[in-house]
Amino acid sequence: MISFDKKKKMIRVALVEDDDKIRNNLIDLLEGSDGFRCVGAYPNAEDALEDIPTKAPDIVLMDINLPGIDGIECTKQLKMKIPGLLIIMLTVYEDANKIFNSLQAGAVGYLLKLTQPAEIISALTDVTKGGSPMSAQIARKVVQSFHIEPRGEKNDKVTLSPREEQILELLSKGYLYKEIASELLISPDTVHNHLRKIYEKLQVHSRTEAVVKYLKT
Amino acid sequence: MITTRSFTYSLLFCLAFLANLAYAEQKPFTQVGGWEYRWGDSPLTTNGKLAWLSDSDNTQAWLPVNKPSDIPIIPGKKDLWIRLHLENHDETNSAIFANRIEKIFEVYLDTSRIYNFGKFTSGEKIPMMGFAWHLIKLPENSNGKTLFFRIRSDSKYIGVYGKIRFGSEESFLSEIIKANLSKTILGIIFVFAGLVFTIILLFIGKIKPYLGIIIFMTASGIWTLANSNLTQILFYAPRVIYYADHLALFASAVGFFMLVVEIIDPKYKTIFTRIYQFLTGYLLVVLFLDITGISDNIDTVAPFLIFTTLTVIVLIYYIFQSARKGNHEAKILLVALAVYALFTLLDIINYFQNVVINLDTYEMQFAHYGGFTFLVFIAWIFITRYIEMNKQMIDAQVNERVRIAQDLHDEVGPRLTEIRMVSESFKESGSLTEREKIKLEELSEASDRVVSTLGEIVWALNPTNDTLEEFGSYLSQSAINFLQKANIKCRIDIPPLFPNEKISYEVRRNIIMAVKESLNNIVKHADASLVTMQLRGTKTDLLVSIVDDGCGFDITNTRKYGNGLKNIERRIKSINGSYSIDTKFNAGTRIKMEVPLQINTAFTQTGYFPNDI
Repeated sequence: MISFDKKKKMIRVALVEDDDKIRNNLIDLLEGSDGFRCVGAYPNAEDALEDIPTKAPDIVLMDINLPGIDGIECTKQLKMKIPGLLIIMLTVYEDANKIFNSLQAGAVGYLLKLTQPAEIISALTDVTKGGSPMSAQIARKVVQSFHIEPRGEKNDKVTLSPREEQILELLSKGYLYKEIASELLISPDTVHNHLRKIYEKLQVHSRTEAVVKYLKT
Repeated sequence: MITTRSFTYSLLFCLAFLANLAYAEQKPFTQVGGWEYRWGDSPLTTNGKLAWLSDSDNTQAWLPVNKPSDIPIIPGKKDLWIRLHLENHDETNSAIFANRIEKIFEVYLDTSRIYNFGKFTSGEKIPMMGFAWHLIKLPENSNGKTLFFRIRSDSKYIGVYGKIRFGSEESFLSEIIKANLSKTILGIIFVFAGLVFTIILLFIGKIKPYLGIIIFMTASGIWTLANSNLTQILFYAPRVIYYADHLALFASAVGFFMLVVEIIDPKYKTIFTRIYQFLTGYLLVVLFLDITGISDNIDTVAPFLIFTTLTVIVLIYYIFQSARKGNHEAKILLVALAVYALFTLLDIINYFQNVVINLDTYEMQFAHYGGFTFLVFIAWIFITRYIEMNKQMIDAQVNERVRIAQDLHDEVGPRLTEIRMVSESFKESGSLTEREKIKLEELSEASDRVVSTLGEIVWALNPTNDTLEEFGSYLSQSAINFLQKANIKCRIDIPPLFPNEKISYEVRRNIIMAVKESLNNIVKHADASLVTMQLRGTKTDLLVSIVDDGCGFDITNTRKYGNGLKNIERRIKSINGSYSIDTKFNAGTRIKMEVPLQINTAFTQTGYFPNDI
């Protein structure tokens, strides 16, 4: 089976979602879509943390609100076990704080549960290709988190490049990706790559920030 | 907010000022020496005159004494005479001031009666007269004449307890006013405050926890007024004043212990409840005895004083225990009692100086001020308690709000998502007619709208979103999302960081709705290609302006545009904000809203929570 998957370059997806009906709907959606395979579906973070490493999925769809360990903590722990894992958060409401915390924990994007099925599939495809969507609100939070940082060790500090700052600023002003691309005379794919890089930096940054906070207390 | 220290200092300063006022210089003097007294009543001469008034009556029966208040108390005595030969009498001292003479008495100058309090009728029971002070005018040419006091009482005590002093009438009156003004004002304030509080609390319908403080306040006020010599000038009814003094003393103790029950550690509540119930019973018994006149010969105050002194010692012990355990209120109470004790100590010191050293009489002065200081401390405890209670209520409200938000979020959201998913999967099945597909699409969109509206409510309900920064970025994002769907370019002009200020729920909710309405108008009517939303925040205000490059409209054509605009205006006005619109045909529209971050919700009519913070 696994070799068969690899041959067809199947995207292996695992689900962590506590609502049975939504989870089953998502399983149906993934299994019914070309190129996707659902390798695991878990109603809670505890099961997911135990089983996901053995299933080696490419992407994990993670509900933010889970009973017990929440999706944000689960993301953090999974990223420690499998640093290259792509985690996308699932949420009913666009709660900027929770989404931002998830991104700091290592998620590379988020999807609203209400998103049209076709859009969910295309978003998953984009993510595997290196895309990382970001809203204006999140862009603003990212910029602020890099600016209002407690002064820690200079050599460990992760900073945003001027180009990255530019992109975030335009995003927070309401520019769409293609508008950013034409404004900065770069391709939309480059914009996406920058955003992915920003996500990675955000995670590293939040880790060092946590260390600084830890050392201070 | 007044700090504890400055509050205490200013209070002590005020009291020192009042005490100074009360102890102004006293000009009248007490005649020492030359007094004589004699037990019994004078027989009548053949022509019906009092035999002892005649000059010739110089028997050994008259005993010399320094001052009338030095006359020993001998139980069982009913009549007492006192006399003083006025030698070298200064005529400017036109009056005698006497107080605490028990009970009915007459004053004679030689053979003529110049003053009487009550009437002498032989054989009848002596009626209760009450306590009064007496300002007795001396006729001209009194020098060389003899002054007689004829006193009768059937109570245990007989005699002159206060001073008999000589002075001018004006000096006595000004002295009374000076010495009693502050007391009288304090008494009036406290009676008045007690009544006002009673009325207010009756209206609020929450009188029980404050009944003790009201009774204590009113009764202490009445007690002080009854003890003020000024009262008698304004209201001459010695008997009424006597009863008021008597009963107010007991009532203030009842109030005091009721108050104690409200503020003391709950485990001691029962014992102090019993105490105030017992005292209430005692008060009623005394009231009965006073009305029937039985109490005239019984000392009802002494047992009461002994009882309350003992209970106060127990109380202090309990409070001390609570204070040691770190109870903040107990500490304040201890300070209050200490201040009370300090004032009482001043009285005791003065008592020793006046009575023991100067062999004079003395009236309690400072205890009244002590009682008031104590009350101020108690009021302080109550006020802090009230503030704390209000804070807890607001906290409870916030918690409730978070709970509702959480429930909406956890329960309703996923179910709506499910509706959306099920209808989508139906659409995929392929066996539907076009019409059915359209209906299903409508169903999906409806649940989408419900979820996004719910999302807004949940967002606004969440107290962690009450900062200007959170609100500003949320508002920007929702404008971007809304305009993106309508294919209109959106630009946000937002400061890098807002001031770290809170914005109240009502303001958030109404601004969200007003912006939504404005954007909706643009999408529907303006035919715009670019919308710029500008957000600016200060420490007190939020400014939102929305500019489009659309067709604009004729602002006078209210029939067409009036309703939506009125809605926006109403919302902005309800949160005390200002709203302006600037538009010209084919030249775009600019809407400006300026609102305060916090509003006094008592004056607004809209909003989900009337007591928003």
